Amino acid sequence: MKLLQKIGLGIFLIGLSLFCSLVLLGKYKLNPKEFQRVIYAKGIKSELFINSLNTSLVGKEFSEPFSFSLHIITAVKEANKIHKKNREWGKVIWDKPHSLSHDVAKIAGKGIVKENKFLFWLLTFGLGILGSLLYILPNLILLGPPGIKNNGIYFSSSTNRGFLGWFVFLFLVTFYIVLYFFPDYIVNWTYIVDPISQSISGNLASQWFLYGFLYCVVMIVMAIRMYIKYRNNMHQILRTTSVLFFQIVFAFLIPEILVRFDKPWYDFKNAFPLDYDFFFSWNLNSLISSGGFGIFILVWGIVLTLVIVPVMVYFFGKRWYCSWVCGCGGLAETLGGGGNWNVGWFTVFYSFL
Amino acid sequence: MNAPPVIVIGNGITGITFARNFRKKSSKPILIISKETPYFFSRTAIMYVYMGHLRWEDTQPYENTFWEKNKLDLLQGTVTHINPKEKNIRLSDESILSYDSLIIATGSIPNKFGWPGENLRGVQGLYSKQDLDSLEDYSASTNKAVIVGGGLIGVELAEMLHSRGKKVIFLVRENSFWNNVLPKGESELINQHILEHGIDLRLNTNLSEIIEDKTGRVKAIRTDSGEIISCQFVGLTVGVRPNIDFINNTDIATNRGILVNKYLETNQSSIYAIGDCSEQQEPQTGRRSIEAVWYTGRMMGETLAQTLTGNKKTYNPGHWFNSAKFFDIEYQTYGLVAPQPTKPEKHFHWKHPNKNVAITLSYNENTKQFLGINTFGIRMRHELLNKILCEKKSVFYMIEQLANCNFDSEFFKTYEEKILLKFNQDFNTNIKLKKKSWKVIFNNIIS
Repeated sequence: MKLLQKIGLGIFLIGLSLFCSLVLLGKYKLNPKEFQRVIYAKGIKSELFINSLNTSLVGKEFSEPFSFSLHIITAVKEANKIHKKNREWGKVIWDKPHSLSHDVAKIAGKGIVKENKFLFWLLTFGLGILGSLLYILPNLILLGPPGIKNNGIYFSSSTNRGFLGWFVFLFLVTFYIVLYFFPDYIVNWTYIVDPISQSISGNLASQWFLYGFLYCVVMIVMAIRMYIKYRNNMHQILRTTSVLFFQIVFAFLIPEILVRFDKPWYDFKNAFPLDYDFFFSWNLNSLISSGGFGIFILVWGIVLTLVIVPVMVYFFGKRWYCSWVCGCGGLAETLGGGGNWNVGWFTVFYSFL
Repeated sequence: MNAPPVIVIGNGITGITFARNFRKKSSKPILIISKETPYFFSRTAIMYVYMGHLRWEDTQPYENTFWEKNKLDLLQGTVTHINPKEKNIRLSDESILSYDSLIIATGSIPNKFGWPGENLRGVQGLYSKQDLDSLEDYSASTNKAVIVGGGLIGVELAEMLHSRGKKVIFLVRENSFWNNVLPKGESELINQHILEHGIDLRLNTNLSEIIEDKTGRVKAIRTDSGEIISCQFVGLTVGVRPNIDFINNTDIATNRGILVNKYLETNQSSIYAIGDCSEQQEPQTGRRSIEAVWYTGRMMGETLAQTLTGNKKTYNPGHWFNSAKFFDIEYQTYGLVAPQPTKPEKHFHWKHPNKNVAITLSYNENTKQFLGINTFGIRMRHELLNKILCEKKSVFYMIEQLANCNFDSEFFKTYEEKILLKFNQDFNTNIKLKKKSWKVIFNNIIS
């Protein structure tokens, strides 16, 4: 059993390493036709930008995403600087440079990953899932009879802020920085989930689809671990099922399916202020301009924040949302997994009050 | 010169409960002396430190700043002598401290019965922080451990050592685990559960001798049947006794514990004894004179704090209750359930056919009065059970109220219908379960 777990851990690490190294696979080559399509789709009017890229980028082959991205970023910045100086507001490119670069890279990417999406899905997600399950399932026997299973939490490097814990922390922070600020570096990751995205929303996968899909996969796999840990406790089993349901159906499937029907992407359980941009003017405008359905979302979002959340909190405390509905709580209690209750900063905190 | 403080010896649940409740009503100075730890900790949680569920600081129920904020002075030191005539105490560093009142709450120490080798290295009880530390020290060099004594601490120690991968041999004098407290069916349930966890449970087995290696550490034990079992650690968990050796040469009257009346007063004025170390001269009917459990210590602390702040109260523990855990099986008891009922006490017993869930109701055969309940794998609502016991309700009323008495987490499986089915068969009755009603529960708890 222990051997099986070690094999599982090995397979998982291979899958994870392959996933990370995907970034460096394949090639990027934007041909003139594709460039025309980007210019048209983005409505780019800056001849400075177009000329700059025509000389530095178009038709050239790049073997990694970083220099490819750098050319686009530089071209945007330099073009904008001149247009702004000349007050040519119509020519300024308002897209965030890395988002524009992501959209270009998504088209320009070529080679092994894009041509073998399913194979690479298996080698990354597939191996990751298989390895994790091999690691998790033996616990059915190794953990002994059902009961409270917290043995050794504070002896483990991963659960008591040891080397492993810090390593995972740094890895995740890096992942989120890349996801939010440098999506153009990770178009290869999005290729492998393209087929899934197309079957749900009809679109190619963006970095956000990749993130949502990854989130669901991690929660499902790690929920199996919690089902084994919590065999003695029906409350925890139902709670785990509930967060899993809300993540997969409300946060992932429904919004993607809405997009397929040309409706705004919306997560019906995501209440303001967690959904911090709900009342931003661009969001309100987009909802109001989406007809009856948009208005419905607007009313629902307001009722959720002003009526449902306060009433439920009055009767059940904040736990009904954090541990039964919320995706953040869901990830914390499946991937994380209970045990680290004590922040230990209360005295420090209270001394400021 | 400042007025002498109220001095509390011992910072366990008893001494601390006294000090907190005293402080709520009085601003007199309080000094709490402990030789064990600088701060109060939850003694029942020390097993979870060894098992890695908690860190040491997580066993401390109050922030370290709490004591100064509430003007509860703490002193780590050892009291060596008490002088009731001069109203002062002496510490091991020879300093003398005067007291206004003295509260002795020194708890228990593990029993030893004069076994050969009982003081070897690697042989210890499990009670104090020092015991936990020394267990941790011996742990790395222990593969095989023997535990002597089948009580609550013995089974805890077995679980602790087992959680760290040690092979555990568990010697129990009786022919079934803890059957001087638990009725037969329940005791057998626990036997099975201990075995299921891979503990080598040896019933009907006594310790004869502990054998030392060349370095003065245990290397084996011999049982009363002559079997030699090699081991690197021996846990002696054959009960505890009051920790009162340091007052033996004073005028304070003692028997097994410090003798106190129903006001928790010793024979010396301004000296009180509470908790495990005290012995009731006239215990309530159905209660023992020494009860070394958390809840009674807490109640004595609360009672004495009332008395010393002008509201003189007798110690009235009410109906007995306790709770414990045997590996994964939670156990609760309320009222009196004898291990072997004698007339007129009789038992109704139900056990789930394949789960570790069981219940025993004890009642008076003639009057049908409900006397007590043991539950395994089901949590009960204390306030409601206490009320049913106080009002001397019948066993029929109790079984009817089973759903309202249930205190399991939401969504847990309930077994009331199955229990009632067997009850109706046994008693030839047709009682229907009263549906769980929050109105009934809250009304009963508040009134």
